[in-house]
Amino acid sequence: MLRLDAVVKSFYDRGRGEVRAVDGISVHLEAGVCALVGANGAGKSTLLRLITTLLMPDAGHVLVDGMDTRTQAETIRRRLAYLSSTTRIYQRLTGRELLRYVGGFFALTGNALETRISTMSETFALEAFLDQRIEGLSTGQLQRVNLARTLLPDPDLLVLDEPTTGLDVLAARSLVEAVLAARRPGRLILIATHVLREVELCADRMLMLRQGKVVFDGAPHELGMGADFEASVHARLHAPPNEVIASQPFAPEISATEPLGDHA
Amino acid sequence: MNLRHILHVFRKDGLEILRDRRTLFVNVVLPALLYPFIALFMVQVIQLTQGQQIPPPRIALIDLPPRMADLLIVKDDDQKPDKTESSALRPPAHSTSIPPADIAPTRTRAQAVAADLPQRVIIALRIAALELATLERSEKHERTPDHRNKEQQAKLTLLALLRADELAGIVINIPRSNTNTAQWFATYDNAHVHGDRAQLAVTNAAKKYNHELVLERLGVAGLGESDLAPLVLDSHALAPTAETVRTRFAGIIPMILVVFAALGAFYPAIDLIAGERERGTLETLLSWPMRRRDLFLGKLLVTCTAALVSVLLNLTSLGITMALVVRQIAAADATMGDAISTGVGTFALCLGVLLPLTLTMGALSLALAGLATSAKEAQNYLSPMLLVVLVAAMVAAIPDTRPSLALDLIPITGSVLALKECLQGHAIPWFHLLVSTGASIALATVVVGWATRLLDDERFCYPGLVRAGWGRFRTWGKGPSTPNGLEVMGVFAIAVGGMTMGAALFQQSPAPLLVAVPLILFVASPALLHCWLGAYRPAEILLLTRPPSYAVARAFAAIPFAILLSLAIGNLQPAAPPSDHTAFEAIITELHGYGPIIVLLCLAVIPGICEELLCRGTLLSGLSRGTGAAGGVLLSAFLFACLHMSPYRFLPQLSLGIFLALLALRYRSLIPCIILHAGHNAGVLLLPELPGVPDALEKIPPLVALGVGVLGLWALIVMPSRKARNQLTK
Repeated sequence: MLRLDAVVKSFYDRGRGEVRAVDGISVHLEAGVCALVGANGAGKSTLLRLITTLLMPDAGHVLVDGMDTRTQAETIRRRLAYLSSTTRIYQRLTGRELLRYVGGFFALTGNALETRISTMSETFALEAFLDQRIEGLSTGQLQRVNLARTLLPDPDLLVLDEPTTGLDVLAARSLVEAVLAARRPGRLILIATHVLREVELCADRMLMLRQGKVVFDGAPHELGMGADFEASVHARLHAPPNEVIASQPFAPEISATEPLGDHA
Repeated sequence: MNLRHILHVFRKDGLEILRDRRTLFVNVVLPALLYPFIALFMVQVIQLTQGQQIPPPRIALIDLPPRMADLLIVKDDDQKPDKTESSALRPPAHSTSIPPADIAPTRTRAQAVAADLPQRVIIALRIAALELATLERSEKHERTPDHRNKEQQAKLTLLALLRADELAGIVINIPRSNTNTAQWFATYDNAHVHGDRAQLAVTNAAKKYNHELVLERLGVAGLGESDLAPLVLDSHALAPTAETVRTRFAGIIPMILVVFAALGAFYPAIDLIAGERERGTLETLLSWPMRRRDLFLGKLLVTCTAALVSVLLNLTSLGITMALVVRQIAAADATMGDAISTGVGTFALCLGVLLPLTLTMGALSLALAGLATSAKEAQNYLSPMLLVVLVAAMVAAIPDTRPSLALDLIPITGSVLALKECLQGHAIPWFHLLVSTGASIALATVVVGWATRLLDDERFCYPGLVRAGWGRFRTWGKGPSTPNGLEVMGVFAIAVGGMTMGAALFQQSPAPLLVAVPLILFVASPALLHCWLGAYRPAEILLLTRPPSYAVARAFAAIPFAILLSLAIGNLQPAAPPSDHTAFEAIITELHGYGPIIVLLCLAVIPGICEELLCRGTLLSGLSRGTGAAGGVLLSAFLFACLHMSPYRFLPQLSLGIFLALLALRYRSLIPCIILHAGHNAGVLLLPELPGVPDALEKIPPLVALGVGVLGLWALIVMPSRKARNQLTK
């Protein structure tokens, strides 16, 4: 499905000189969900931009279904959809106009397009605001429209670059659920994130990047992540613990609370 | 190119532009409201000003005859120089705002009044004015710093006295003896408008009084006024007022149209790429399956449409407003209506000329704005472009500028001058229209060609990310296989600088050195040095390869056609003034003294080799990389023509440069180009000196020679060979 052969991508930084954002990565990915994990500047976004043909490699090859991004970029873009936390959508269009505009590029026209828009509208519950201008929508509604436009062409390769950045816990969770729902045979979902909880929830495979190189390639549980994964959080509360916890959406996932002492 | 995708982008971006209040305001609302509002405002201001009762300025007349006080008061009718003219400027009868002048009773109105002042004020004014008059009459050598201080002090004293009694000025008689000519000294408080009005009134009154005195003295001598004026020249304007007005406006309207076209492209260009990048939608857009060229063309279509709509709206609004203003304020003459009315043909012609200009400005605006990371930064990039457009268009507003072949080649200037001719009502200058529109189309092709490739460039899509490849300038030899456009333009700048400044070093040298050394030093050497420093392959950059034998044969066969083309263009354009070729002829005459081989070597072979290395070698390869083959051909030919630094040799060299570049691209070798170039130079120089040849050449009509030259060169250089056609068919 996706093959990277010794891919190199460099940038020139005035302070640091030549920086290799992607440094000779070779990997082969098949259908499923693959997470790209790494600190800021590890090369996740550059790698995804190389896969989505937004950038071209300085050396090596990126092949999608055997097609090289250098020579068949337009054909490859027909099979993929890209969503990142930095990409936005057209504020002056309505949701329906946006979906029609996107569909036009993927050769979706007439009834086929309208049927697909209806499906997306039902899947993401867009009916109430589909004909409103996007500039008037809330963040959650905006995210749903964005997801709908990403999945409208039913892509084989879905590329998500830190899609939950800037979202609250509920919106982030619903997005992860949408990703899980988008799994289907023959579809590769690539998701770049630095939230390990998201990886644990949805990824079959994980690539960990550091300084443009893959330092780990395997299933998340191979790194000790999975059902036993626990975290302790120290917090100062300004109300009784039970009330605070009950008001939080992540309440069911809190296994135990322990008072640390009265610091009031 | 996918037309469906282009239109898809056009529809969506058009919709967004229509929903963008800022663009809508600047491109639609402003033109529709601005001019009518200005017109209404002006009319109201004029009416209010006319309705105001401004008191006449008071003037101190000291020691002057009482008659001057009477002469300051004039009748309204006296101000009108001619009865006919006054009726021509009369407002129409239906106008209710301004009462018609002939219905209003003749009034007596004071332009200024002589102030009635108490004796002590008169004495004080007299002392101060006489002191100032004395100081101001001093000779130049007497004007010491102390003198200037005194003069300044006297001025301030007199000004304070005038202002204390609300006087606008003072006129005083300077006592003189032994002369029949009286001398008056007048000075005014010019810091205020009433000072100017007082000065005008006094000048008019003094002129009349002077006239009366002259008549009186003539009467004493037994002469009449006619004895002083044996000749009277009575001048009248012959052309209809409408035509005169149209001629005056004809220079301004094309300038306004071009500026509006540039302004119309300004905001959409900022919004469509820089705005998208700032809003974070550009990356999404680029990830969708369409060619980036189609995306750019779609956006260009929106920009150009917005610019054209802006031009049309501005033009319509301006026309209506002008009609209203002319009728309201000045136009009583029915023929004045023709001054602003334009026929459908002129309107279509304007649009036809503006279309390539709009396309160029749209593409340039999009490309420049696209280089910015934000809309604000894009404004900074586009403002200088507006300034350039304005300067190029302002040429039309200069009186007496008319189209010429050299000006036609400057894209905006040529077009506005051609439009000016049309609007002035002269015969349509088809030749100039054709050349200027051709220049605009050539520029539009190059700019659009360059701009459409920008979206393919990662630096354009992600300006924050600079490729490591850019560091190559510090590590020569590790760079790409071809130089970029900017790099080769630098080489060209060195060549031009050397030829303009360095060549002066050889002015005193013998003619062969004067011609050959600067060419080798400043034209060939930079090209060779650049290739060596950049570690570029000479075979790829300088095309130093062995051509096939048929390419050489074709180059030789093309020489007569190239000569014919150059001579034909030379005959079609205006003859160069003698000063343009005197120096050149002197060099040729001196060269002839060294024999024909040196002449050919210096004027044909060495220029052929040196100029080809620079123009078809370095420039063509570098410019083709940035702007495509067509852009490379046109730009390298343009620079080749510029290198000759003569407007009269520009067109022949430009056309030769185009065919030489096509030849270089076709055979990927510089040898055929050198042969054709050297052969052309030799032919142009030697043919006119052969017996009978100039007469034979003169008999060929220039247009026929032009056609034969172009067709011959096309057939030999551009048209594919039979072998190539067969390969294509297979």
